[in-house]
Amino acid sequence: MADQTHSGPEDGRPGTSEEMLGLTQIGDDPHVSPEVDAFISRTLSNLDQPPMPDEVAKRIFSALSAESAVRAAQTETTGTPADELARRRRRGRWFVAASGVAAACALGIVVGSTVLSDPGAPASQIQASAIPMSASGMHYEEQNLRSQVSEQISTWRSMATATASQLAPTEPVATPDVTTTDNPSRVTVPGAAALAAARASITECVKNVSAGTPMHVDIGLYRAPAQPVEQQVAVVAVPAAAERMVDVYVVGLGCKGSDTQLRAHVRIPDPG
Amino acid sequence: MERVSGPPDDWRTDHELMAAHVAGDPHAFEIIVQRHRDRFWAVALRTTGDPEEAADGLQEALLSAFRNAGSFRGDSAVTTWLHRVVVNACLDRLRRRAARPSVPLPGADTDFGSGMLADPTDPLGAKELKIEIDRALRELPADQRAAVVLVDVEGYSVDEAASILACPSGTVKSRCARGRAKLAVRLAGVRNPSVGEGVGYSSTEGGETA
Repeated sequence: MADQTHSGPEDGRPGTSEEMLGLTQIGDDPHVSPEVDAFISRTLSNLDQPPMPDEVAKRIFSALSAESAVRAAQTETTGTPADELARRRRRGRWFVAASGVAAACALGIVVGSTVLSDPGAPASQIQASAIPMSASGMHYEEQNLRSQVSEQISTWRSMATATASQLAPTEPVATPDVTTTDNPSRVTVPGAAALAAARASITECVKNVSAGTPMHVDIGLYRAPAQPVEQQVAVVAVPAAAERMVDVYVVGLGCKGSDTQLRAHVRIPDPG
Repeated sequence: MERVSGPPDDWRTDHELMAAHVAGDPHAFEIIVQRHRDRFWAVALRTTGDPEEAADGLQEALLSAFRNAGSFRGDSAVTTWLHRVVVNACLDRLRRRAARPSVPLPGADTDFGSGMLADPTDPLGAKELKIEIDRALRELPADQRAAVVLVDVEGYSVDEAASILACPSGTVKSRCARGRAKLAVRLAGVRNPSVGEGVGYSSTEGGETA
């Protein structure tokens, strides 16, 4: 009988024949003996954890910090503790909140979509809930601001489209604040509840930096020239008066009223 | 899965930290992520097979979990819930990527970290096997890869993996078996000194084992 087991480490090769593995073919899938199955399982269990690269860690923790800052701003402004919202959800009232948030989101998306297609919408139409917002935690840089925002605009537009389709009346409502329980990661829309407070102050702020209606506001990080550290900012994209151009304002998160905390302003072509 | 202590220094359990996060503690969620960051990264990386996709998927997942922590009911380990979010985000990205296929850059093989296979007696064989395992895992269908990564690499029980993947335990078992079989075929030609000591490949003729 031919030796159909591998020959061990002496020749350095266990062999490659399928017979050696006790292989059979069922449908498209191979099947192996329980011993081989166990060996593969054991081999995989010996794999080490690859450490998270520093640049990935930095990016993720920056994003979480930005999100945390927005949430803190919400609590400070509305006076509604986060645990109270959670308690309401646990009491089963979440559907009431969901309806409210969904309506607010829908309004934001509808108006946001209108804004995207109608750059000339008057500033008087601006409402707090109408500005699509996100908290990407992105590291905006002075020298790359134009290209970064240009890329982001495309992302925001696709996000608005996807979100609008998610909230269509025939679909189950999935809001960012009140998640579905079967697959929370599918909820990719910005945290509307967490951003609600920031909306109000930033909307007010936007009126003072631009007469236009913002197409999107993103919370991220920005290091101004001559500043040693990054600061949390709101990047506000507003359709410019010039056709197919977008004004980009970088303002501090504390931007309120006439205190715009303007860090940067550039005008870029609308990526379309 | 529940951690009581460990870096970063905080005596609270994951459950307590999650509750603190929901209650408004601005640092609690970051402590959880810091505590398990390498594990989350490993799962994301091995599920996607691509560092860029893994980083994007992980960020998307953790932000989603941050916002939706209120939906965590506390009837499973926090890490199980978070792994569920991470794996689902990664699988979603893979599905989206499948809809827009791209050509990988030459030499874009991913090094998943050093010393993946602990075998100090034969570093060359271990290195070769490590590279082949990386490749073989990436070639598995996404659902089988996710099951194998969770059960075999991360050590989750079949039931826990089923909870993470939101499918029946039998499905996880089946995916693992099919995935391991494909890996066995793929790895059969690789020099591996540890194979000779305990593999026990079945002979088709006599059930002989080595």
